[in-house]
Amino acid sequence: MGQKVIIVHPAELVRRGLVSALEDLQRTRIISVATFAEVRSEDYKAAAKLLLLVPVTCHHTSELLELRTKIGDHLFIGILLHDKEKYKTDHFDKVLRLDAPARQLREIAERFFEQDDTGLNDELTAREKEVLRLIALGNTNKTIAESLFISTHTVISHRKNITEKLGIKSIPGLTVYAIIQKIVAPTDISADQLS
Amino acid sequence: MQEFTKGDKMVHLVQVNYSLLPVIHRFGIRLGFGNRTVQELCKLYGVNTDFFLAIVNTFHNKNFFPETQLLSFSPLLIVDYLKKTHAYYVSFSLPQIEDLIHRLLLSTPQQNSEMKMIETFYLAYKRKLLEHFKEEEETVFPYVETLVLRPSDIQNHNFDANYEKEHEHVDFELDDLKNLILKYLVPEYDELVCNKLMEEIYRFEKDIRDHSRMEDAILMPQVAHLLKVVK
Ligand SMILES: [Fe+2]
Ligand SMILES: [Fe+2]
Repeated sequence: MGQKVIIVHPAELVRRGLVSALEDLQRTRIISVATFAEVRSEDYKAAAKLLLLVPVTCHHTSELLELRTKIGDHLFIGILLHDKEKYKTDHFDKVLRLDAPARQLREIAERFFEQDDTGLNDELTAREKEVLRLIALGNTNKTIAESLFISTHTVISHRKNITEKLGIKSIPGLTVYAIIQKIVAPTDISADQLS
Repeated sequence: MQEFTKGDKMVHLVQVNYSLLPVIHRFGIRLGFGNRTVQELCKLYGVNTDFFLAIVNTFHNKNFFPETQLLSFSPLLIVDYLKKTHAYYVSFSLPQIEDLIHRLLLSTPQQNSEMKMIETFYLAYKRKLLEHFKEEEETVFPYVETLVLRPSDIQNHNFDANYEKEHEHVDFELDDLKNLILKYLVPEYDELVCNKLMEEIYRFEKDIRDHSRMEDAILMPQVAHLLKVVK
């Protein structure tokens, strides 16, 4: 598991610059190599999330496509040296010019890795919010499981995480929290949900 | 931590821990202690001294719960104490918290909607708790009294109040109330009202925890024991 950044660029100074823009991202390992051929499967195979930075001119298009299928949660950024470079847009999720501010790359990376479900911070994930919404609307674990196509076991583990993050255990308490945070509207709540 | 004994002066108890005063009152013992000891005053007011001390010490020390000793008291004493505690909650703690929550709400800008939700939450909690007390007073306590005084009148020998779960809910929701206020209250409010409210909630939480524990760990085992004897 874990989060990986793979940087591929022939120029060492570029690699160093990219590494320094991203190096203090939490829980993220950075691998930096000169050519795509040097990327080994050990570098990414166990990754939950992969951010790949590669020159737009990279010729390993079939390998790039294959890599996409291997890591479900990925973001491929093509690095553009100058506007005249030719490349296939559909190989990349985003294209960044080499002279783009480092802050821009940083923000993209932060946004990408923030959306995780590892839950080390106290914010609820999108999934947990959805579970919370359904709890507040008066659903049981079973109906929540059915409507989200997950097992009741998973619902229970979401509930446990929600309670741990918020410090709120009871259904009425969670309902009030959901209203306060505008996850549900007060008008959607039946009167007996608080009792 | 220190344990009070029958030779201690009653005034000393309050001087050490002023939150014992409501507990002393619960036993019907009034101020004007003078220099009289716990034993002397208990005798004067017709209170069982050992029971009084067991309760006061449980209340005073977080880790003190003399289970064996408490089990040895008559269930009638326990029930009587539990009833008096209910009366204190109903007539004082709960309305007091309700009033403070409402004053806190009034002190927020335009009666803030977050705080309004918290008030609704508390009112629902209070309603459920009153139902719980009613159930105990109308079903559980009379059953225990009959079991002790006229065991032959007992029809149902499989009595099981099984309200440990209910007590757990009471505890959880009170904890939630604290967290909702501490974490999600808007910053504009009357801090004096807020301080007082939090103090009252924490005090009530501790009190009712002891109360529920007495029901779960003392009264229910006593009932189970008596039922075995009756059978
Ligand atoms: Fe009770
Ligand atoms: Fe109770």
